[in-house]
Amino acid sequence: MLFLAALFGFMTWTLYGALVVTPPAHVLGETARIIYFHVPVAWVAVLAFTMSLWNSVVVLRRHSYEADMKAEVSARMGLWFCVLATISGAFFAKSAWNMYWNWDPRQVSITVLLLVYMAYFGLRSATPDFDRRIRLAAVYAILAFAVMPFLVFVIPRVYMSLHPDTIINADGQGKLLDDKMRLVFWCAAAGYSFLYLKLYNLSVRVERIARRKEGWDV
Amino acid sequence: MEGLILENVGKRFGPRPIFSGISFSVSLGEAMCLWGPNGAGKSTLLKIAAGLARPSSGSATCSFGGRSGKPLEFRNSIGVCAPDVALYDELSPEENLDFLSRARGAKRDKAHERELMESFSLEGFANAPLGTFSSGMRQRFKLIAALAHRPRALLLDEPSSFMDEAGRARVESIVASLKNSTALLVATNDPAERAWCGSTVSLGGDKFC
Amino acid sequence: MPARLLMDFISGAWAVMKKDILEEYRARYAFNTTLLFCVTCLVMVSYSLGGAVTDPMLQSAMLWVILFFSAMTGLSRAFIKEEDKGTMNTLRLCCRADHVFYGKTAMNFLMMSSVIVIVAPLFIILLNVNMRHVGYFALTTALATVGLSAVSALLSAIVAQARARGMLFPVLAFPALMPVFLTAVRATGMSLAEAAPWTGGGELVFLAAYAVAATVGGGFLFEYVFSEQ
Repeated sequence: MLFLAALFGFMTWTLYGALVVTPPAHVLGETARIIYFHVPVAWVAVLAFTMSLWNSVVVLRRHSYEADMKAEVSARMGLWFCVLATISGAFFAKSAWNMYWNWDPRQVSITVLLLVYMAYFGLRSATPDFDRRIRLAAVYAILAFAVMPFLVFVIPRVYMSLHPDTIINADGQGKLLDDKMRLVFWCAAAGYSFLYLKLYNLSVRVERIARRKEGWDV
Repeated sequence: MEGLILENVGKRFGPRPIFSGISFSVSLGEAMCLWGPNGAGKSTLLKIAAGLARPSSGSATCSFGGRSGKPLEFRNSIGVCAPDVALYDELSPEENLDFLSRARGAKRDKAHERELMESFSLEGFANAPLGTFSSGMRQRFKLIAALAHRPRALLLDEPSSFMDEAGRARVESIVASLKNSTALLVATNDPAERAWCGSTVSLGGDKFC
Repeated sequence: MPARLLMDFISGAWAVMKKDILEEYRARYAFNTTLLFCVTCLVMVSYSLGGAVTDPMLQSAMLWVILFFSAMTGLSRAFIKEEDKGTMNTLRLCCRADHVFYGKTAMNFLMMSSVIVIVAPLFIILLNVNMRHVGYFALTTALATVGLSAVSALLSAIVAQARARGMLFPVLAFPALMPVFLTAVRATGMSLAEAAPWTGGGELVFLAAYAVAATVGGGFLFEYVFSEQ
């Protein structure tokens, strides 16, 4: 409870900082404030998918139902955060490039990512046998993750990028952000990461209770 | 000890337990019957012993020639005849046996195969596709395929189903001839098949005994 | 000793492939339908465009869309047919997992490349394609087909154990095969264009890298799909 209250206070403060305290960015102007939301959310999605990958590896090594449940919960949260990142990115695209969707490499990659994890859940729901399901889902999660580096290599060669990390990060150090902006940005990143951890813990507990009610001895 | 060892084996489908805490061993020259009503898990237990299914708890081990390990590590020492272990309909018995021995990386014992084909009265069908066989003939050939590599452990799930009187008699005499040298595990509902075995593991309570 | 292991490996994988070739020869599970599917699509595309497309990239994109979907129908059969007929357990009992995977991958490669050998000339004729660099095209399709075959074999084994397989297969395969698909389209487009394609080389190296990763990584992951342990 204390943790939740502290997190709530911290994130409200960050939001205030993001919308009021920080100045508008060079070149991008007011729309740049999206980085205090969009980038942390995308980061959390990556974090969640990595957790899911790790748990999938544990499933294959030890055939653990617990790890499978954690992999599923992580993938589900990753998918939600991925959707949020896609939507927020599309709004930014509308105001910056006047199109919600213009097949920027980032948009292509995130679409593939969404498809991968929707396929992952499709596979899970199509496999009724429990022992099979956890193995197959784990293999697919690992396969999908292994494909990512290839995508990262291919997609920019096929599609042109307008993604502003090239503007913000032109010198590789993010110097176009001033100190206040950087502070708020890192606070937002930390805030969303803690929010993710809290949600993850809650989901795992809910899932455990649900399974115990079904008669599992987890 | 040479043979199959099951220790404290349990199986659950999701949250639903089928059986638990089953321990037994079958050594060479012994015959064990898995007995119980439909749905008690006989076939599942047989598959666990063969390495085709994963026990939810406990372990199934094989031990032959001073080595022990998971059943599937002893491909050349185990023969299985079960309803969900099928052979290739498009291939003839000859081609099926050829595939099985190549896949195992073992030499074919053609004289032994011919003998088996003859004893099950299939010698005239060696080159006809399995798809043209009747269900009784198919069951006979499944037994031949399970025996062709001279397995030291034989796992049979309702071996004489679909068979006529003569077929049943053949199975019984072959089982009798192998009994002394083989570890035999039979899952069945048929009292005649149960009579082959020296001891019985009852699943699903004693309702059926 | 390594020579002995290699011989065992080759004969085990060959046993699986030989059995598949025999089955395919007798029952024509996949080859005929895959080929017919390809030819029908090609004819439809050609009719509906009236030979109006001259852009190499567009032509190559059409070829690969057709090949991709024909692979989805044909290559998914590899393990679905085993599971349907109850022979999957026989494979588990008699074969080592790596023998099965590489035997099936080789069979997929054989089938897909036979389809391409028939479809590629039709593609050139029906769409008025000017194939300027045949060697480059051949190498592109060969490398792409290796990756395609290995990933399809793995996914087919996954899908065979699930319900709604026919629909699930393309859904699972699309994200995994997207890198090969995009690169093959580009490389094929380059083999149709005037400029010499060999100078860059990036596409072929990429396809080769994907093929190696798919065959090695696929073999590793397949163990877990195949065995129930």
